[in-house]
Amino acid sequence: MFSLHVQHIINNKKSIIVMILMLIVIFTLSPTAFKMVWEGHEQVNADITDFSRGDYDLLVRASQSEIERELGVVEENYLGVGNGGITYEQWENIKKDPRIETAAPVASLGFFTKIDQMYQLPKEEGSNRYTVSYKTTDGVNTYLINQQTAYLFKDNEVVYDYFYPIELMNIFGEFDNANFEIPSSYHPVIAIDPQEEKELTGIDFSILNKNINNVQTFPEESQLIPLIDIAESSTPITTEVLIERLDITHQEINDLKQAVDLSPNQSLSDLEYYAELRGEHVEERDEVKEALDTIEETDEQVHIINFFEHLSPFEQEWYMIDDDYNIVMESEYDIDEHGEAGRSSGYLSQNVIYKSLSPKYQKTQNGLSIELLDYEGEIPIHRDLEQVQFQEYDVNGDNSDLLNLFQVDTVTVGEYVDSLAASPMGIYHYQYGHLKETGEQLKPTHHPGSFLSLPANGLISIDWADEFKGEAPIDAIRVKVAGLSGYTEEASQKIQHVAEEIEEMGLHVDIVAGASHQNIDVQVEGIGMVVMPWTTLGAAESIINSWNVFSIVISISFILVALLSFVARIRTMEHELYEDKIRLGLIGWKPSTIQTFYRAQWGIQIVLSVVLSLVILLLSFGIDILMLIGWSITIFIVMIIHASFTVLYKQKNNKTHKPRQSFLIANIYYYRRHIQAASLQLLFSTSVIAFLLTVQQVVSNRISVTDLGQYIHFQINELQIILLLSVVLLTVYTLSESIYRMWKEREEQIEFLKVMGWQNKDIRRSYTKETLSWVSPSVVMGNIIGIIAVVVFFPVNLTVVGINLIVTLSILFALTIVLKVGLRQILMRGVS
Amino acid sequence: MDINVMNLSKTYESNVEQKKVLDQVTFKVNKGEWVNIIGRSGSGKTTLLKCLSGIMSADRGSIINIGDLPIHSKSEEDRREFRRQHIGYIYQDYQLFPAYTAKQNVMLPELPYQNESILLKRAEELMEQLNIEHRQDALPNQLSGGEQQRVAIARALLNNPDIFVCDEPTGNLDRSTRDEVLQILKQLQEEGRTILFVTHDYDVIEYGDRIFEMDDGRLEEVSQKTLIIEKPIKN
Ligand SMILES: Nc1ncnc2c1ncn2[C@@H]1O[C@H](COP(=O)(O)OP(=O)(O)OP(=O)(O)O)[C@@H](O)[C@H]1O
Ligand SMILES: [Mg+2]
Repeated sequence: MFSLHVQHIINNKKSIIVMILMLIVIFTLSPTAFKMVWEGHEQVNADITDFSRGDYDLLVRASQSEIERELGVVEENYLGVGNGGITYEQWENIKKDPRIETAAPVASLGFFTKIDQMYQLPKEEGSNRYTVSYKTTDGVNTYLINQQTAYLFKDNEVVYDYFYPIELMNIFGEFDNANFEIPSSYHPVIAIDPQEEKELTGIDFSILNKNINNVQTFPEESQLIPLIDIAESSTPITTEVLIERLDITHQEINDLKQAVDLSPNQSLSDLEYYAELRGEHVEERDEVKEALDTIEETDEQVHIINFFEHLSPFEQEWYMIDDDYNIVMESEYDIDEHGEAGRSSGYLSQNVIYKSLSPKYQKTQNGLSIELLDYEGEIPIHRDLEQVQFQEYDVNGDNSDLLNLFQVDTVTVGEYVDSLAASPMGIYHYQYGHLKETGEQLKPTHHPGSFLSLPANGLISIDWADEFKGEAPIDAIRVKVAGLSGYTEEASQKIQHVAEEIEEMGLHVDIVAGASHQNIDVQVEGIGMVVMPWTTLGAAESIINSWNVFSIVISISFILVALLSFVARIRTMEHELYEDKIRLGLIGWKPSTIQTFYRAQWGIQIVLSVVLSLVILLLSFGIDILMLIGWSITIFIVMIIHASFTVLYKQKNNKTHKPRQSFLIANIYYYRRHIQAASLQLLFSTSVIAFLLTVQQVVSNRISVTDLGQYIHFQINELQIILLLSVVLLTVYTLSESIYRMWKEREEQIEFLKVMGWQNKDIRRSYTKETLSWVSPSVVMGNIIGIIAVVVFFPVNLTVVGINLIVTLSILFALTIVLKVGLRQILMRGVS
Repeated sequence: MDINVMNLSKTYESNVEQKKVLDQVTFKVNKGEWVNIIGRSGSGKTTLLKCLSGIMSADRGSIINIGDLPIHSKSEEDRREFRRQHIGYIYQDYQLFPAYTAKQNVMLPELPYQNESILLKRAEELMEQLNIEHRQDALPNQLSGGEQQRVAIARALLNNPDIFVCDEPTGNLDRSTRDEVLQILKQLQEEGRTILFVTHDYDVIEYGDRIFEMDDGRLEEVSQKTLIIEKPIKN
């Protein structure tokens, strides 16, 4: 008996080796996949714990914006509108809840304009034309805000006349220097609670609660609001000063005056005054302007002065420009060192706040668009501005109610920016996005009508917010739940709980834990396609969920395909052995003896592969309980399948075939035994491939572009690839074996086709057509199933369907090529 | 079409050995003749038929002319084309395709080259002619040996070939069925077709015009008398 077994093994060595190899693959890969999926899941959890618990857990607001409701993401500039809606009382209620560690309110007041300031340029020799240009930039384009040209005429270093635009009246020619005024700039001021904000950010804001008195610049009786300037905030305005030396004599100027009927005592500027304020002498003014503008310069110099890079917008200290056109603070100015210069002066005009409304978003086919509303100068305006006059200076009356911002400190948030950026919707730092085409980074212009928002420039105490915004001034409260160490399942539940209770107060709550950026394509009219990093809320949860979907889909399909390969394999084996068994019967073996013999044969194979797979598993992973459990389950399932299959096979062996009208169907039906497992496997693996590729596509629009998602995605990908690869390999194996077996069985037929005179190309065509006629439905169906599976989980767009179509066609194309090559080989050499 | 063979040799080459199966075979068959070929098993009869009909290529120097066509110098494609148009081939084991019905099997040779409905008509005609029209929708495994061979003949007739090459077509048939098949072939010969017929069966010899014997790769014509008296056919 023993020698018989050995003989049998030698005779069937090829098919036994294949079987053992396949079993080893199944026995090692299934538990490995099982383990990898398990650990991958933990890995993702750990990532979320580490990365996603930002500085707060909940974002409480009065309501959601419309665009947010529609897209499920929050725009970066969500605070810019600042409609408020939460009362101090509501905030207090939230704050005193013991489960809540921090409840930090935010109230966006809007944009304050900078205290108007003049600056004086150093004295220049001779007569000069000054052209001052103010420019802003959005990071890509530069826009002219304003340009002013003014003239200073000197004789022996004594000024004898001016000519300047009306805006510079009372400014330009003081102290015989050229004086200009910095254009309006707009600065978002946000009210916070110093205590809570410190808990959230670690930055000390306590100075905001200080009482300030006796600051001379302000009307004595008014109230001063302490303000902290944020050092990083800068206003994108540059000042370019062009100074052109003019070779013109006093006499020539007098001639010009005479030509326009001015007496020598009058100034050329008087014409501007008459023209602009009284509407008189407009022609003469224009004449003078043209005459002056066309004077050839004999020399020129250009200076760039970056006021806004150096100075905080709420600074009350004056600054000066030294002889080298550098900015020097008045307190540091030394006439001997810096040269003789008059200091600048300023006056208050902060009775007005500007609020910029939300851009008008429009949903388009592949994202959003923002309409261009207007231009101011050259600057494109995408948001409407609302001007709110919150107080009025009463010249004669009581001004004790007047509010004035007073800078008391400057804070650098730079070192916190990273952690703040990890929980988006910080107020200190925004991510603006870039032009899709060129990748150039964009930033807001100085104008509040910019579609991008400036981060907070100044902070004041929340206690003042109602003075500006009334009853319910708070826009948002950032809530941190107490006693959590990370984003775990338990933490998630606790957060959920608190969120629900706050929602019962009639407020809108978003779970921020795990929030991260997501790129949204926005077509900004006048700018181009802009990729903006908006914020997904509660991304952590959706990542975990989608991850679960991934692993479930992959493991199920791996198991299905692996088991199908196994079934196909035993089927082939049983078929091969069938005649052996009959022969043994013919030479007088009892059926029970035959059965025992083949059971023993199967036993040898199973034991061999069990032992080998165990060795492989132990060598690669050591003793791993999880994996050993997976391994035992797999072995059990394989045994069950084998047992039930050998019973079923006997009953099924009587082949029934019915006449078929079509040659194609006749063949497919007749050889279905070879086709079934292969086409099912093809169906599974294409549906998995389609599912994964499509999900990849969909997810890359929803999660994976998020900073967090991408990281996780990458991790999962490795797993997917290993599993997917084995799914594909097993399918390819079964497919090629099935096709091979089927052609082998029809070898004689192929030979006879040649005898009948068929040309090779006709044989090839006929067999390719036949094979494709069952392969393609599997592939197409598989892809459809894949897409349907995706639709269950995600919204699907046309691109996804398109990609799917391409995948389907490529698989079919590849299969066709392989078939043709295989057939060519067979026709040349015969099936072997 | 007459057949003119000169110096036909065939050597099977394997890694192990070279085996000369046909050795300078020379013979001539006239159009409309029925030639029987006899010989021991393994003597090379099948090989001869295959070389003759271009299924195999013969050794260098062999000359095979069928009609005006020098088969030996033709390409594989040309030989197939020639076979399809001029040669009907029948085997002992019928070579029917198990997935197809009798009728579909008959249509098969021309399937890539002609319209299916034309083929269908032609197949029905042939089957009627061979008295198997009632079995046209049966599958091969539902047919008797005689029926199967008649289906095979109908299939070989599809293109109305000039030459019928029969490799022991009656070997599996009982006496009366065999006679039916031989009658059919006789009739085909009478219609002017050339028949090459390999057989071990002596009764068949009565149907033929001439007899060749294959012996150790050589072919010799033998007279009917000699054969019957002196050399009973061995199996
Ligand atoms: N493809 C092949 N390669 C090598 N040798 C072959 C091949 N085909 C046949 N032979 C050998 O050539 C010899 C002649 O074979 P062939 O089939 O022509 O004999 P046969 O006369 O038809 O015999 P039978 O009466 O048994 O059909 C045999 O010895 C056979 O083993
Ligand atoms: Mg033979």
